[in-house]
Amino acid sequence: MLKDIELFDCNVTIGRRAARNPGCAYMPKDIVSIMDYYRIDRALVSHAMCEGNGPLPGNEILLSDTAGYDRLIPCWTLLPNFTGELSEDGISNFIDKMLNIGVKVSKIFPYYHRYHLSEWCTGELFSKLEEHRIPLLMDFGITHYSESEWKIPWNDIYEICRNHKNLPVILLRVGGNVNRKLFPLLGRFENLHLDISYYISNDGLEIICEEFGAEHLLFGTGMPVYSPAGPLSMLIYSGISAREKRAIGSENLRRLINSVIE
Amino acid sequence: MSSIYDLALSGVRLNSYVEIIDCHAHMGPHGEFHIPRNTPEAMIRIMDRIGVSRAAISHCISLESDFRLGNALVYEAIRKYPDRFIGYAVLNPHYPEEIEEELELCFRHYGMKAIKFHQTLHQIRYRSDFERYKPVLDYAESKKLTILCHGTPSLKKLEEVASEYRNVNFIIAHCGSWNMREDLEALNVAERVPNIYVDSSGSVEWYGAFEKVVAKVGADKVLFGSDFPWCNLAFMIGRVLFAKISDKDKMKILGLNAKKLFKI
Repeated sequence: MLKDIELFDCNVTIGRRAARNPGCAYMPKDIVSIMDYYRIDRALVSHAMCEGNGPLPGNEILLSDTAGYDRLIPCWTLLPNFTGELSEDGISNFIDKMLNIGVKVSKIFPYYHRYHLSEWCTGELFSKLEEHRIPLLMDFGITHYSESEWKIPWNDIYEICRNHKNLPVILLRVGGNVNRKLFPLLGRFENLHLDISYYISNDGLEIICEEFGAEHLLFGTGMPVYSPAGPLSMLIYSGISAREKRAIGSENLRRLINSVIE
Repeated sequence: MSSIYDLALSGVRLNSYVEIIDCHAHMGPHGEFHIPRNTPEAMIRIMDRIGVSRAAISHCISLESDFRLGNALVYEAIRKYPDRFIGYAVLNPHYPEEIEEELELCFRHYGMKAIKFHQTLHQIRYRSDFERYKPVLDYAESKKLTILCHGTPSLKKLEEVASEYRNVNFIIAHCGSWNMREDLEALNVAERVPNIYVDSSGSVEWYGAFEKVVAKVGADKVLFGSDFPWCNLAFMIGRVLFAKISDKDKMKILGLNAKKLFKI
């Protein structure tokens, strides 16, 4: 089955973390080795340092660490720039630089980085991303699914999707316990997506495909902290069509990246 | 024959190659969040996609409100689909006056195979409240039953109980994916107490953790459990199917150990 489906993982990190589970990989070559075992073709990667210490200098280190690894596609971490932590040249220049060097996907950690997702705080940043249709991965630092209730500001997600309809929003590691909040959003917003790394709702992929469309779902694993085994098995054994599996496996992410306006 | 890893990658139904018994499943709706497709028929359709032969179930109604109604609903499912479901009797010690009658009903009439404790949802404290399980434990000892215990608080108490009730096999749930840098007490207890086992459920799937669990307690002490439909069955079985352990160990975990404990 997998021989017909390319896997493009949207949720991977490289680099050392302060707390490491025994045996957890962090070097690009070891990440690639894990990808081989799970038959993952390509991965969108950010640097763990960007979560731990902010975008600088992790974004630059990410580029040097992934150089020579064609299967690892860099993704830059962003912050609202009111403190100047993203760029001294302003958001526009930063985004232009990012696109010029070929980075077409962005990532934020609003929970760990402690800022609001309200328009007064992130509106300028999101407007600039929207102008270029740059996909925005949102990582809320969810470990256990119960945290999806309170770490994700669901009303802010509603406002972002409503105010920035051309901004592809991708929620990472959403637990399977949020359907009562997730479904009304998926029903309203074509620009809302989630990765399947932790979406463990029973027949959740099947229901989202039936009710809202497979285009809302992206293959993601959360490796190397989390195992690819669960999301991979869930995709393989889901009761959805081969076309939908291909879309989730890689085509949806590829489409979003190809839609970026440089 | 292809390895279980290769078979899983190919997406074939696995029941032609390995007997899979899910030792930790549920049924029915949950108040806290949406559990889709939680009926016996819907669950069987999902089990068939993967090739899971049987699932041992307790009903969410037993865990969150009326333990007796939930048991009756499990009975309906196992009566209708005796080859697909195995019944857990849920006993809620907050109703001591009904325990004896419910035990008789569950094991003499309903044909349940094992017992489920849910100390968290029933709000039973291990140290101070565990004695309230005594009538159930005495019954399980006399019938040589297996008890699936949710959660892992105060493993010391469970170890004491397991040492006293040597004819009862205890399964500690949600041990399948420890990150190996926090509290490993459940695994330590399962490693040293002969009648304590662990199941593979646990929604957080740390990379490489399942292999470490198997290495620590041994494949003879691990049972596949999914928590399905509370969780996604296909997701939860992935950690076993793709684990870097031998197929012999996978077969024990996926079904052989459960057959032994459930005496089926």
